[in-house]
Amino acid sequence: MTHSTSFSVVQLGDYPGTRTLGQDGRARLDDLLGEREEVDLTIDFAGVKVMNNSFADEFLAKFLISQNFSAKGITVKVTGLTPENLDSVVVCVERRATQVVVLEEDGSLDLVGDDKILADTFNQALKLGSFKANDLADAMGLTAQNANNRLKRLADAGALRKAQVTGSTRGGREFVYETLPAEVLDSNNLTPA
Amino acid sequence: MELKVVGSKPLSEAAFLSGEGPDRLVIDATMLTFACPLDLAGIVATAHWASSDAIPVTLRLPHNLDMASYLQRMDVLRRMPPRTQIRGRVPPDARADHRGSLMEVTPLDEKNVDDLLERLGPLITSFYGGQADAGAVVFRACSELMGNATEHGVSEHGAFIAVQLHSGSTTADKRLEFAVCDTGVGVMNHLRSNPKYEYLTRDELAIAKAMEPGVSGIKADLRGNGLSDAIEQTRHFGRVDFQIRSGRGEVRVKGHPEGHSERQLSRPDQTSGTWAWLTHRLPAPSETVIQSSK
Repeated sequence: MTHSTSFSVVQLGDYPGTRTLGQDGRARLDDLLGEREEVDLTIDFAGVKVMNNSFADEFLAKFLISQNFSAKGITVKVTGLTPENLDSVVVCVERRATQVVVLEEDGSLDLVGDDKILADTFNQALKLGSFKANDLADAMGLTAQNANNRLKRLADAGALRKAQVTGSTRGGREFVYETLPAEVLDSNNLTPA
Repeated sequence: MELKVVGSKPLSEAAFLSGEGPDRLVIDATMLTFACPLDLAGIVATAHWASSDAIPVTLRLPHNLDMASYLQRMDVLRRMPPRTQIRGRVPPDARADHRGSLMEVTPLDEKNVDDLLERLGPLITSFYGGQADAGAVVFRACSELMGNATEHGVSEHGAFIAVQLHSGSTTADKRLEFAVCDTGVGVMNHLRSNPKYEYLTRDELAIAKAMEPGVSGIKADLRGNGLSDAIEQTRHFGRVDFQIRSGRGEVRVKGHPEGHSERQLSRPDQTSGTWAWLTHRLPAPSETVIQSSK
């Protein structure tokens, strides 16, 4: 069963601006996840007035590159960003060559990062909802291999949920992918989805 | 040794530490007429650097009573090292509540930097009012400078910050002035801890190098964007004057929405640590249309 959890960044301060604080926040995130698997994690920046790029890098970008989310069945999205804080998130994920899903105020999901191909793939995934690699390949005119490669990168970044299909008739392992739920929790506690 | 601070904003202009005698430091502010945060924090940092080497410190207060009162109000006297000799008429410590327009000379270290940022954030963002994007980039710039001081500029002698916001009612323009003076290893020594920059032997070149994106004394961690971000982001929202001095070097940057220029200088004195001074002015309504960093 997938669980949902939310981490409120404002617990670190209204104006977080040091790498030390970013490291502290990242350690708290790691503690929150612990050894758990199958988690939809929301990192909520609501209430954070301004953060600087060093904090964003140390807290968020290093967290994003620190683990293979797909292997643990973890998805990640950030929300509650002011336009100024979104700038910092964009800068830090681009510098670390990674991606993160942003839940916008209007409830839409957006993939932030410097890879336009992955962003296009994520947008197509949103249209498909729940799908297999071949569905994406058909929708985007890709080879199955290319679609698989893109989906693997998105799932590793925590942008898609990935589950192995049981009893597949196609031979080898087959996966079904799902986009993230577009809602925000108001609790820091792990709760069943 | 003598540090003669004369006239207006002397430490941002021509004032320098002179004399070789290590037996005493005299900070002569008798002819000081206008002080910016760099003067305030710089005077205190210099005094602490000398005091930590057991050099007795004397501060000669300004003859101008308003100026002496300003030094008192900005906690320069309070933050001088213990046993500093204060010469001149010490003004009464009567202070109005100016929390919305200044931050007095305040010690900065790795333990209090986050708390200071929580004080500095509202100060800066409320100064920029409805221009949240401008307030955000200026806060980010100041916080990166403070982070540099506490992460790379750590020393037992400490670091000091000061902030002054000018509303434009008594000055020529509306502007923010921020200074942080640390007494750490300095820019060049920090950069040289990364083998990639071991070749640096001149302070002003090291400072200029540190202002380039991705240049850091910490190797292989995609670090070193703080100074370049500070310049690039603040200039999009007005005019920025940025000075960094360290060792025997100094770099001055002037930025505006169309670009920036840089001047490298060698100094006649030695700055023990790193001093950074940032002045940011929003354009007057009739001036250049503000560009968005996006």
